[in-house]
Amino acid sequence: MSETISNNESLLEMHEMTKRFTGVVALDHVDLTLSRGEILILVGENGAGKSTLMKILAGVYRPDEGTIRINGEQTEIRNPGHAKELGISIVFQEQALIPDLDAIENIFIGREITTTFGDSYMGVLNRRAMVNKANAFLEAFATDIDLTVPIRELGLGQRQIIEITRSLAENASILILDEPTAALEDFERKQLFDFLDRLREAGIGIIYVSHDLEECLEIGDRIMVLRDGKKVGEMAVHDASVDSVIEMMVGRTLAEQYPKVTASIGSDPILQVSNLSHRKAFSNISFSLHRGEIIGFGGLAGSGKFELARSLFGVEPITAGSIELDGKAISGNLTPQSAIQQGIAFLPADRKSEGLFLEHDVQYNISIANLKALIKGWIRGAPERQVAQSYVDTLDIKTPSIHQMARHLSGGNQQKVMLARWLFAKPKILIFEEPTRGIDVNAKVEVYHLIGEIVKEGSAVIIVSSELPELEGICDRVIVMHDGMIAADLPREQLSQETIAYYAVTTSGEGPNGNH
Amino acid sequence: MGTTEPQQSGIFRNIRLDFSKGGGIVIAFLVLCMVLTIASPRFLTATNLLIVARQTVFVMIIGFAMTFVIGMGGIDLSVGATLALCGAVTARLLLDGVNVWVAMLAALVLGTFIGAVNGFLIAKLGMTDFIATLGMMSILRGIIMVFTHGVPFFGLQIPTFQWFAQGYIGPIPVPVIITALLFLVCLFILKKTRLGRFVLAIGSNQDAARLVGINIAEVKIIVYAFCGLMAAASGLLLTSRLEAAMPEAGEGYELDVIAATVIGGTSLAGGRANLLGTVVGAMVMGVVRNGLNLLSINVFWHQVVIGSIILIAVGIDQLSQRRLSR
Repeated sequence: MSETISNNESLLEMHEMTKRFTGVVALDHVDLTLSRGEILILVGENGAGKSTLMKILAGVYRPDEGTIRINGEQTEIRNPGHAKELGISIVFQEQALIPDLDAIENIFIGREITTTFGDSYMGVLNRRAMVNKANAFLEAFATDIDLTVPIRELGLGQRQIIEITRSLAENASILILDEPTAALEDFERKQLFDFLDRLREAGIGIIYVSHDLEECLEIGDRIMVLRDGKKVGEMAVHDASVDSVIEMMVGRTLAEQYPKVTASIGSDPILQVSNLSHRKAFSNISFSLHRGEIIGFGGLAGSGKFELARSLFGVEPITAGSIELDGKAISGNLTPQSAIQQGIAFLPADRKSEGLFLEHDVQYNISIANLKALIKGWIRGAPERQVAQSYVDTLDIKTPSIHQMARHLSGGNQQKVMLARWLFAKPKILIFEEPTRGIDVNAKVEVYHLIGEIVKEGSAVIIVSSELPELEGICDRVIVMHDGMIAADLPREQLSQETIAYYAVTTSGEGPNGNH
Repeated sequence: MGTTEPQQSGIFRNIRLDFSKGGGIVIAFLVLCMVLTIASPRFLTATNLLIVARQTVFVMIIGFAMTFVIGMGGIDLSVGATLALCGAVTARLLLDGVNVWVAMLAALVLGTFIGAVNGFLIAKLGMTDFIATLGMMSILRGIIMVFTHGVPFFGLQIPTFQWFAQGYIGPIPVPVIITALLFLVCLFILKKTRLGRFVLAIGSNQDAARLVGINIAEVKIIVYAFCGLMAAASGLLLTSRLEAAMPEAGEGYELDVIAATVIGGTSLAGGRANLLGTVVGAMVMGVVRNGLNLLSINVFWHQVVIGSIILIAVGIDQLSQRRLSR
């Protein structure tokens, strides 16, 4: 079977992959090659065919046409188990680690090393052998993760590394990573990237699927763009730029990736925060927010930015300081309930676990925060449907109907449902946590436009984000936090990713370090 | 007044929606009825069906409340004991010559209080639902024995009191009418009030529910209190029916109620509540018991058959859902 090997280095060749689903062509004669020690970036909008292609590789779907070669040998991937045998391993966005077990136990789960009775249920675990093997393995990749604490105590980036390690311990040679950094902070991302670099040196082939083009270009060797089931571009990463890739992905030039709406900013603060302190995450925070203003909060994980935003909504308790809304101090303990009554809305980063009621429909998810407005004696069905339908129309939520389950919507449309929920509640202040995490380029731009609409109407917006371009792109002001304190309060004129990053890692007053 | 009409059609639309979700149980119920009709000429007679209905209401009434509890992601194991204690308290008061209405109100208040305590333990002290209500069940059973010395309270031949479980309005037994009214009230609460929405929101995703401003502790206490209230109501009907309060009344009811609710399509994982399914679920259990009696099958086999019915009904539902989600 070795007569037509085109490239000795080729680990994987997919040729003319075609897959149809009841009339729809999901993949249209797509070629993909992956070499040893290469990181191939796979990008495309939702529905472009990325996941279909990866599911073929994982043995979930069988292609209608096309051939697959692994190490030059033509093969068919019969099922997920077979894919594993062939050395193909997928690490999904939602992590499949067991939080109460430690890293060793997770890495060897199902393939434990035993002293007696082999792999029967009575097999006696050989903990030392597993520790040694895992250590030897991770040392080779120069990571210093504590393998003996429960997974729940590790950071998300470290968990990601453990998960990949599990795949590698199963002798995977082709690794597929699906949005591996979607939930990661910048420093965790760096940790992961260092690890991926090592894997590249060790000759593992990696297919890297992500929406975050900047990081794709940072980590990848080659980039491949899918659109509407076709391959529309393929190039070395050093020949690519974010703009050119986006152009290929969406098929048109995006005039503005970060449309900035400048609304007229009110003179009196709508929110005045003075000397706010938290048990441990932040202390002595003061700032003010005005009508029509978008304030961004930046900073590393552990800087206290998330806790600060959550305390403004009554989710995290505060130990000292005051919050004034429209000039009136909030009395008593702030709870989400009282925050909503006073016109504050909060959109969490993790939409699936903290935002949406996944097994309920779009209508339910939109009306739940403001049912009072629909009650005349009882909840009226017709107005509820009208409200839901009008938001689906105006926000352009792509759903077959308002009775579609939220679970079945794409990330961008789920975020729009969250927006609809809070727009319906007519808040004065909207707090966004990572407003565009895990959603595609087009939907991102739409979300930014909607945020612009919100401030034009006279509301104010707080955005807590780990994405520097987002902070730079759409905020009127960015407050950078470091170690629970405000490191810088940057007006729009002074905004740049470099300054934000600089203040995120250095307390003002300390000596400056590396600037790019 | 023109606005009420479309609104009612709204409620009925919701009923149809429920049918589509708990389809397995409806099919199981119809098949069961068909089989019994063929097997026993006495099954499909008005007399027999009314007997079944009157036997089923006790489980069904608590099942309505359990639908809320389970839909909220909780469970209440203390309902059987609550039923027995409230029945016994009413019987004692009636025997002591207390006014019928006062005696009944006392039982309802007591049931509500017991439920509220459950809710408090769960919502405020953070106990798991299972453990809190299990403990409560044990405590209540003990109190009943202390209170009654293990001896039934007999002799409640008080016409006003007997009427609730034994009377008729036209051809229809009063308990059936009461149950139907309670069903409509519960359906309204579930579908048309904020409380109903909030219950499902908590069952579906408690973190998200908190972030949309739902006072979770308050809702939980209300729902458990409501469950206690309904258990007390059921206890009153049972006492009225038997003209006596048995210390061991309602033993095993918690499991029958939970079974009726779950085979009716209410998800034990929370977030999904199907009141009409609970009605059908309770009827399935009643019809099976009745059918086994009609066919003179050894009582020892009844539990086996009922257990099998539960597994089959839930199994059908699981399979059809798996197919839907594919």
